[in-house]
Amino acid sequence: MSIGDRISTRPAWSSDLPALLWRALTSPQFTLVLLLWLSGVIGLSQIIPQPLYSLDEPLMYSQWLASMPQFLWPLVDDLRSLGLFHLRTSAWLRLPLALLLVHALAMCASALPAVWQRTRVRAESSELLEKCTDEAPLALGRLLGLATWCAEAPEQVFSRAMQQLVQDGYTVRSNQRTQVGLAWRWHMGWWALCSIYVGLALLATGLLLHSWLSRTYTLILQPGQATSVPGLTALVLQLEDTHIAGDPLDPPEGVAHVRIAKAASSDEVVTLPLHAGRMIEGMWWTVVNIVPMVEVTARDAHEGRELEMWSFIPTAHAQPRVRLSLLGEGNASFASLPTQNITLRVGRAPDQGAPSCRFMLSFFYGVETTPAWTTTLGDGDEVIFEGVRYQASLSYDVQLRIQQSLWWGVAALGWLAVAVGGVLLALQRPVWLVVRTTKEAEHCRLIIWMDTLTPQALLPERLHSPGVPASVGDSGR
Amino acid sequence: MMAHATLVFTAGGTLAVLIWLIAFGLRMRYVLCPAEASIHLTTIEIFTRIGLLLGIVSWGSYAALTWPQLPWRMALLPPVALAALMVQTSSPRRGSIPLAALCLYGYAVVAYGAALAPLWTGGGAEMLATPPALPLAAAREIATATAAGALLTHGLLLPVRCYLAQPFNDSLVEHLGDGTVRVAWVAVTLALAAAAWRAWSAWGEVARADVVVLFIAWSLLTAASLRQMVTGITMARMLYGLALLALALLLIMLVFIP
Repeated sequence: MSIGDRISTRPAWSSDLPALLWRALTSPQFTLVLLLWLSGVIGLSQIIPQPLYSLDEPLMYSQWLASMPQFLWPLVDDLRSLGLFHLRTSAWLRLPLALLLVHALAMCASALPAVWQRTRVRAESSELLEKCTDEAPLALGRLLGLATWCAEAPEQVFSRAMQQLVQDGYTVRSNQRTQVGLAWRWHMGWWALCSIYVGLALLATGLLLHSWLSRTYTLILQPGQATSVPGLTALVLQLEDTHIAGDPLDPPEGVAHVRIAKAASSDEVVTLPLHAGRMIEGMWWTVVNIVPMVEVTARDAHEGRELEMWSFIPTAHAQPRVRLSLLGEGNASFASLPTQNITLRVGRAPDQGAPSCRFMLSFFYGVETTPAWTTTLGDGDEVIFEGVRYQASLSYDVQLRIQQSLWWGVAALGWLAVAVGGVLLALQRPVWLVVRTTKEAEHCRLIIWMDTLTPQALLPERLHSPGVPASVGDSGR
Repeated sequence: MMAHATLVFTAGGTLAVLIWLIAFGLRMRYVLCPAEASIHLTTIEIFTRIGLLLGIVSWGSYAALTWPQLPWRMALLPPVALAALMVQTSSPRRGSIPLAALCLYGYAVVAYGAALAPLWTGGGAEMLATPPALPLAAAREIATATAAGALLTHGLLLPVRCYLAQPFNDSLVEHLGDGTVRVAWVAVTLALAAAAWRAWSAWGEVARADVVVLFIAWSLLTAASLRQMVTGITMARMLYGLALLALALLLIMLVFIP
């Protein structure tokens, strides 16, 4: 009795390069290496900060550098030249994806003929039985070979083996004349294995093309202000109005109505709920945030004349109405009233005691850092400070993300194919058996080739079935 | 009152998880080697029920006192963990499917432990706000805890096996090793689907922390699963390492990523 065990019967190591390359490409170990490589790069992209903008602009670069820990400054240029700050669009990610694509296609190409043959076995069993030789069959999973010698007639051993396989739930086809039999369980499982590799190929293709060709635009829409999409000049967006539900300063739900002005056709108003993406104009539109802002106006308390204010954001100019952020993000919360030498700041009211829809307005003299007066206001409230009447009201900016191109759909489809294949294989694993008996001197030799994806320890039990003594199967690999 | 309830939940919950862990280890030992005289199924059942009682009382008192300010993860995971263990203890066929029994213990330990973790790390306030697309977040959470529970079972197989003095059923270890990886893979796939769907529909992108962590765990488990299929070896050192790495990622996901 002898047992052989190998992963596949693909060509042995050869000195010629194409065969060597093909063997490497169709090696199951390569899948492991590529998946680990991908995981490592994706993991690093989560640990190393990946700026969303290009670092080629000097201003952006200096701002970004300032945000980095100081000990990293001497290393930043070297790390940047290695592409570590744009990992998702760098060769570090694209190379394993490209290799995964090639590897998955190679795996499919090497597996498909055998899978097709096994699928057609019901219809073309006689042809397939004729083709079976003494050599090991083409393996898709783990190939286990078993040979045993008995002192009985080959016909008897063969019939008994095939009967036992039928009793064990195998579907069998046999040729009594040549004494070759085929037996299988759930042969669709081989398609599930193919589905995993087809899925991996699609996943890699989708991710590659997505990282290469797709564009993402993140826009801040303000009420009444036209905003053009940088890469799509024919498209101009205007925020018509916003409805929110729940806490006005931290809206969990809301809807934005956006007017889309197109050069080629008439305007259209679309309704975009918060956190509910929609496909519009072949692009994926998502309102990712509805940001509460405080609009402040200033009037002379006696004469009623409008006073101009300056917001602290870099591109601001004097205007009678300023929009200040409640997020406390640096200068966006500040404005000044130059004629009175007053600076004002908005902020959220402390959690304790204040109703949820109220915010704070603080007044500073000149460049002092301690507020001269702080008051809590609600939407539309007025307050007088140093002869100036201030009115504060809430309004909302909408943060909109537009995803151009649909390559993510290919990646999603690929992932789905992997998921379906994997779930099917998790439920049941396929087994393929080739049984043959031959007469050798006074003995009969029974040869069984088993190709399966089932764990090793569960195999001997199945090998016992065709009449092999129980002690035989225990010596595995 | 609130601080008192938090203290009760932290102490009682931690004790319950520790008791379940002991019951889990004993149960695994019993499954692998029923011949070991020191283990009795009744002892394991008593441990499990004491843990259940502690878990129900501590979580119930905390939920009653903090409602509706109960962080969503604490509202979701402990009841599901308790339900899983109740099914395990009350099912008439609880001994017949060792894989399901052990995975349920693993799930309860991970899910209840993950709900408690913010109280230990002090990050409970971050979980207070209801996340967008809550049903998908809940599906992601339950599937992640299931995967982590299965991987915890896989991870405990080796040390428990080492402690067994008597000969044990090696093929059962292989069967459990294979089964736990299958359960974990399917659960991580579901968790990743829910997380990616949620991220895409709510933020228009999938490169978010939860999706990234789940994708890495999924890749590791896919690699482990494929390797397991083509080699036929379920408890190899490399597969064990990949499974433990995936478990660590899933625990990070459950504890730190809202």
